[in-house]
Amino acid sequence: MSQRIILPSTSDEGVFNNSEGYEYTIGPKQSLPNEASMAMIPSRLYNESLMFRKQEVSLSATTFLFQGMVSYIHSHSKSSTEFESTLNEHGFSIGSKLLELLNLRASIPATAHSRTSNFLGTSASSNNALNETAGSATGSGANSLGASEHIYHNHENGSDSIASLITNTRSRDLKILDMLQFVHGTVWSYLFGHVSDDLVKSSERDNEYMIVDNRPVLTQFIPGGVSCDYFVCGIIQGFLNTAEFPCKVSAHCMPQNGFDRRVVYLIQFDKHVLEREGLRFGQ
Amino acid sequence: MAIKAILVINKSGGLVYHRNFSNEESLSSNDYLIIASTLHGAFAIASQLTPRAVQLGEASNAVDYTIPYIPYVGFPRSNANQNEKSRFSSNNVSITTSLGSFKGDDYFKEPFQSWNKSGIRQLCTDQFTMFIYQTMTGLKFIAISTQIPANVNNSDYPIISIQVADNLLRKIYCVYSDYVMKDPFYSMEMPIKSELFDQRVRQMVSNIA
Amino acid sequence: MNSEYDYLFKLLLIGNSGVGKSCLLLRFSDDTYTNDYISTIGVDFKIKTVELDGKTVKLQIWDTAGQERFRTITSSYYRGSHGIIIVYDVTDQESFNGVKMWLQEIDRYATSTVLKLLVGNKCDLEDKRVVEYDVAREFAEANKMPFLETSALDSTNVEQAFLTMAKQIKDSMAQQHARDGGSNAKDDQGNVNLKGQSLTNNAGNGCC
Repeated sequence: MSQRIILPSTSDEGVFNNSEGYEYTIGPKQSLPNEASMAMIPSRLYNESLMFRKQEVSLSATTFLFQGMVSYIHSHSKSSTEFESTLNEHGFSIGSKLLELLNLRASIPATAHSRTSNFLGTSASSNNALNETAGSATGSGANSLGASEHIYHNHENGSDSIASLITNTRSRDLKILDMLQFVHGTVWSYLFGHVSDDLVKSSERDNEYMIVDNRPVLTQFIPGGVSCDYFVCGIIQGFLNTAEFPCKVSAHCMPQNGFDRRVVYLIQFDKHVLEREGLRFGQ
Repeated sequence: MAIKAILVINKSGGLVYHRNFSNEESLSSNDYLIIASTLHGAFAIASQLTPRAVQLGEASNAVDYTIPYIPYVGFPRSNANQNEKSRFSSNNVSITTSLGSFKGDDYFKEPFQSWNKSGIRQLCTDQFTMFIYQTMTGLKFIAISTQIPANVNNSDYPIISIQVADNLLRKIYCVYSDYVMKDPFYSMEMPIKSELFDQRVRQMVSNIA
Repeated sequence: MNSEYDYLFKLLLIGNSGVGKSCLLLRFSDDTYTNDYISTIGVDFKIKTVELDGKTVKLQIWDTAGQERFRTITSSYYRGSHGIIIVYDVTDQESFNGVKMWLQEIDRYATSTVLKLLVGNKCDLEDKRVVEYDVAREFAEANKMPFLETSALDSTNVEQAFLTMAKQIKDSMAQQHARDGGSNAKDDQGNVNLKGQSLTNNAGNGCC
C-alpha cells in the first residue's frame, strides 16, 4: 500500500473526495442534506446493533476469556463466598443491561417459527414473544434467517429503518411465569445460542423456580463445583431485578442422564413479588 | 482390553496424568513418575540417534509423516453419537456441544502430520506395545497396549495399529486442549486433576476396546 | 491415581563427577548412605513427597551424571526444571571451579526464572577442606543464589537444602499467580506498542 501524501496546506476537498468520515487535514465537513450516505450512517449504526443476525463467536475464545476473568477474581478473593459474589456482581451488570435490548429486539416483527421451546404449548402469553425469540435466535432455521435478511436488506437500501418496522413495542412481562419464559427462551438464546433445557416450578415453595441447563456453555470445561456458574446467576439476577422481580439466584449441580455438568439455577423471588402477583392477577 | 494405560508427560519430562485401565496390580505413582521421566530421557536420546541426514537432508522428504484420518476412533461403535444427534436435532443445533469447542461430529476429519519425526513413536516388547504421540510443544501422549503385533492376526480386536493410536492420542490432545487448558484452576505443567478430562479419556478408551 | 498429589516439582542436581550428588539424594530420599562410588549413567530419579501449606508436593529430583560424556544428554534435562542445585566438593578445588561452567550451562538451557542453590558437600571432612566457607559464600552472593554446606555422611543440612528449595518454588508459583492477575496493566503501559499495519487490503481504516 502506498502511503497517501498529506497536504496540510490544502483544503481542496477534491483530493480526498473518496475518503469517508472525518478527515483531519480538512476538519469537520459540512454535511449536505442531499448526501444520502451521510444521513444513513446513524441509522445504520443503530440498526445493525439491534438486528439479530447469525453471529458466531469462537467458543475457545469465549471460554479463555471467561477463564481469565475467573482466575483473576479467584486470585483476588479471600474466600469462596467472596469469589462467588464477585462473579455474581459481574454477571449482574450484564443482566441488567440485557432487559431493554432484548425487549426491543423482541419487538421487531418476524414471521418465522423455527426453534420451539418446551414451553410454547403451555404459554399463556398474549403477545408472540417466544416466536420472535425463536426467529431471531442464533443458528435458527433457514426461514428466520431469510426474514431477518429481508429486513436488513430493506434498511440498507435506505428505504426503511428498523424503527419503522416496529409497530408495537413489546411490553415488559408482568407475570412471573411470562418473565421466566422470556429468560428461558430469549435471554438464553441470546447468551448461549439455545433455549435452556428446562424451566421448573418448585413443588415445595411458591417463590422458587428453577432454570436447568444441561451443558452450561461457559463452564463446561471447568471441573468441580458450581462456583463459576455464579456468573450466570448474576446475569439472571440482574435481568430479573431490573425488571422489578427482585430475587436471589443460586447455582446447584445436579447431574442427570449423563449430563455431568448439568446445572440448576434456583431463583428465589422476594415475598412481595408474589404478593403483587396475587393482588394484580388474583390467583 | 486393548489399551492398558494412558500417560501424559509434560515438556519437561514430568508425568502430569496417568490412568491405568487394567485391573492388574498397578505400579505406585512414584514408579510411574520414574517411567515417564525415563521415557522422556530415552526419547531425547532417540532423537539424537536419528542420523542428521535423515532429519534434514533429502531423505526426510522421502519419509511420509502424514497420518491418515481414521473415522470415529474412540467413539461408540454402534454408529457413534446417535442419541446426541436426536437430542439436538429438535433444537437445530449441531452436536458441537458434546465435543467441547470442536465443531462437527468428530474432533478432526483430515489426515495430519506427525510432529514426532525424530523421537520414539512405537515401542514393541513381548508384553506390550507403547505408542507415543508428541505435540508440537513437546507434550507427550502415551498409550500402552497389551496387544503385541504378533498376535493381532488371530484376534477379533480391531487392530491397534500405530495409525489408530495416533488418531486416538490426537483426540486425547483435543480433549486436553478443552478440559485442561480451559480450566481456570489448572496450573501449567502440574498434575491434571480435572475429573472431566479423566472422564472423557476413560470414555474414549473404553469405546476403543 | 492422579489425586495423590497436587504439585510436581522438578529439581535438578548438577555438579562435577564424584562430588556426591547421588549420595546427597540418597540421604534425602531414603535417609541412607553408601560409601561405594557408583557413577550415575545418564540420569537417575528419586521422588520425595512433602507437605507444604496443606498441599501434597512431590519433589522429583533428577540426579544427572557428572561425567563429561553424558553432557549432551543432560542438557535436555534442564528444560522446565523448577530448581537447580549445583553441588561441589569442599575437598576438591576443581569441582568448585567447575561451578562457573555449570552456571553457564544453566544460563544456556534453563529458564531465567529457575531457582538456583549452591551446595558444598562433604563438609564433614574438615581436615581435607580446600574451599573455604567464606569464599564460597561470597561467590554465591555475587551470583545471587543461596548457599549451604552439607554432608551426606552425617546428614548435615541435607533435608534443609531440599526443603528450602521446595518452599521457594511453591512461594514463587503463588507470587507469579498473583502477579499475573495483578498490576500488569500499570507496568505495561510504557512499553506496549499497539500500532500496527493492517495486512488486509483496506488500508486507511486500520484503527478505531
